Amino acid sequence: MTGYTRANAWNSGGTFNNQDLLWYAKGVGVMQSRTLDDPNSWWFFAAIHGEYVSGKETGYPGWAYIPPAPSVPTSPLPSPDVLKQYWNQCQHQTWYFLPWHRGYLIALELQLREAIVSLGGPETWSLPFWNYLGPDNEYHIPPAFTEKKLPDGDDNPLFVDARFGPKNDGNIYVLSPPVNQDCLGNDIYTGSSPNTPRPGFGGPETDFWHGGGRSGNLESNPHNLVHVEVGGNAPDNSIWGLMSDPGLAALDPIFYLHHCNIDRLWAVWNARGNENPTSDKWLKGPAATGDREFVMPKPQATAWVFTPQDVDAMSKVDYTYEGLSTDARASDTMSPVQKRLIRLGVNQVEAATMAPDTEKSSTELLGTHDQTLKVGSAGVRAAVKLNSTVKNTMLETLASAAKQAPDRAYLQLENVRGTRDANTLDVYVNGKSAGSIALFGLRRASLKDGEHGGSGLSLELDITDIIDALHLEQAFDADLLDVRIQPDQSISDGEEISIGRIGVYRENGS
Amino acid sequence: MSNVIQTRRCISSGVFGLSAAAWAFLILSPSIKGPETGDAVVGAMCINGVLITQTESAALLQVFTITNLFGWAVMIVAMMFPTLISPLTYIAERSFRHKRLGLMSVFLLAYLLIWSMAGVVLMSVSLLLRQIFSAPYFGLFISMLFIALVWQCSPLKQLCLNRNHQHPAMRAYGLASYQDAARFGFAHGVWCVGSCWALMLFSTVSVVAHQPIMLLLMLIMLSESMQVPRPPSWEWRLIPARKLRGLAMR
Repeated sequence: MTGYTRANAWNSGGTFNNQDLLWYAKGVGVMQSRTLDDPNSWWFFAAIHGEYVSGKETGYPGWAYIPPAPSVPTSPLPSPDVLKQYWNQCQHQTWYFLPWHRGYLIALELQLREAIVSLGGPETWSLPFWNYLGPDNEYHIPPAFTEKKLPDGDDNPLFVDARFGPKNDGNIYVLSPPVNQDCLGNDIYTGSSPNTPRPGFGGPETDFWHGGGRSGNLESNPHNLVHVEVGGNAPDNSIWGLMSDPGLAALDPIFYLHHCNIDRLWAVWNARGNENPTSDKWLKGPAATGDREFVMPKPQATAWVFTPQDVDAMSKVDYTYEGLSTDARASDTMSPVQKRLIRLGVNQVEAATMAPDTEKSSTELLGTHDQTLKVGSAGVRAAVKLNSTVKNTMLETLASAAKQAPDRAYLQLENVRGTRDANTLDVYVNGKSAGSIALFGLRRASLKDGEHGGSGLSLELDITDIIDALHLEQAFDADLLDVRIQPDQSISDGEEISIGRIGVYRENGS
Repeated sequence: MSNVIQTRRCISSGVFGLSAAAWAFLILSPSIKGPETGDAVVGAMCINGVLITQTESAALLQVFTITNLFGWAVMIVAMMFPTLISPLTYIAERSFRHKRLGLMSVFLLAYLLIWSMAGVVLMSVSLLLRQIFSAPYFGLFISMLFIALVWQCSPLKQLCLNRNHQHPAMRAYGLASYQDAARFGFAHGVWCVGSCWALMLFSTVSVVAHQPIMLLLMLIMLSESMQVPRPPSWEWRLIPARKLRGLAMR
């Protein structure tokens, strides 16, 4: 079924010498020339992901307040029925994240290809991907996105003014670390296993309501971090970049190359032998249980309704990725759990044979910092009080790693609320780096009438390695953990981030 | 199966079990003794039945007996507990294992207390309306149906539904954890009353097919509680048919 190949945007130096990028720009230009209410327009497609144009926004991020380029239209709005059917569909903090975005890319690619062919472009054109974790300069945005003009002198539709980068200076690149693709070492799509921290590679199983849920491991890193790093904040901090906010992000043409890379990583993960969920609930999507269906406009404005099972394998779609077969060969011969067991003193031969493979787990609270924290530019520090009984149970599993699967540990920032997504929190536990969490989606999750009901986000880090290290250093005896949270970007007065509680959880995998 | 889903399913079994037991109590008890006996306990089994069968001119104080309030509480357990899967799962996930049951119980008691207070108001209004309208209350039935339909479509109703999805941070240690569970139960109860009062008031005047109507209302309220929050606006949301179909498929 494969007819098209999605190739690396950095081919031919990522400039307009790369024909994929040149024709992408021209196709985007055609779609941008259409009206907001046209289902084939660039603006309509952006609103399918999320929008701030149908509501009552009185300032940024309302689409009326976006500085050009691009000049974003705010009228005419589609009819209420069309709006309700198509707009604001994006799936985050759920196991539908990957299939919904795959269908979204397929629909956009069809629109662009039709526009490109109408201009005399290649019929085999496919959406390129930006592999920001590739070699050499590939961590930089392909230069074609930073040119103000196309080679023929026309305005470049790929150029966006509100794209500020990780240092807010218009220099767009991805910082690695913290961005990585460690999630490719996961072996479970949803849930946890000795090789996979919760909530799994593809995201948590979600029911009727997934507010307050956690991002899947691929969604969390690299997806969320790249969104926030590319978007950044304006130098005067007055606004944030389009990519930093789900209601703006799909207006920026780099969005689709980023998601193409996320889709490619899903394909790589599957090609390495990892399986997607097989339950009807996932395969048939949320519409099967009465929620909104996944629906995209195809060219000529016909509706394409799809479910995860329509797009859950490369054999079911009409494209493949350049280099997929090479990427499918995992370079690491030792699994994450084997490495961990060796760290905990199990010998290498034994670790290779005993690596447990269980999806059965139980989680319980290990400790909390109960007071609400306000995070400003200087960051905050908090003591997490551990329950000694639960901690001792965990210590026993660490001490007997050779006999049973040792516990995992997670640190969760709960009920995190704020007004700006363009930030990253760097978290340290007892002085050791626990990782970075992007706040992509924070603003919408904090709105009382938003999808999360105002509960905010739950942001989680796997701190198993830190607990292991403390255990080995015999420094895990105290009933307190010292947690320091440092924002990556400065925070203006009145824009402080609030954290309702810090929770630490143990997960027993045996 | 992930741990969260396991917890949720366990809690679902618990609340649906409690609801089923309450339904059995409501349905079976009148048939054992018969409402015409005038037995106070029988009347309490279904407080709406009490209002239907007692004299229109009954004084308020005659209605607010312990047994009648108990009957109202049983009805709330039957109709509303299945809507509490999400907040109960939230409490269980975020509390120490040895405190989970206690915290969930405190939440439920606080929630029931709010609904009991609401019951006093709703029963009073219902009695008052019976004294305004005359038997066989056709006009009352139509009026209450109209009010319920308008409320169902109103932005305020959506606002209440949205607030029911707001789950607060909860302290884990000491007495504070129980205070937070109670506060959560009170808040959830208030928004739940705000969301469902019109349907419940309507149920108190439904003389014909009273229990089937209660069952239908419970399904409507359950499906509403499972819907994703959205901006409040006037909207035709009488019966979330798609969600009900989805519920049936589950």
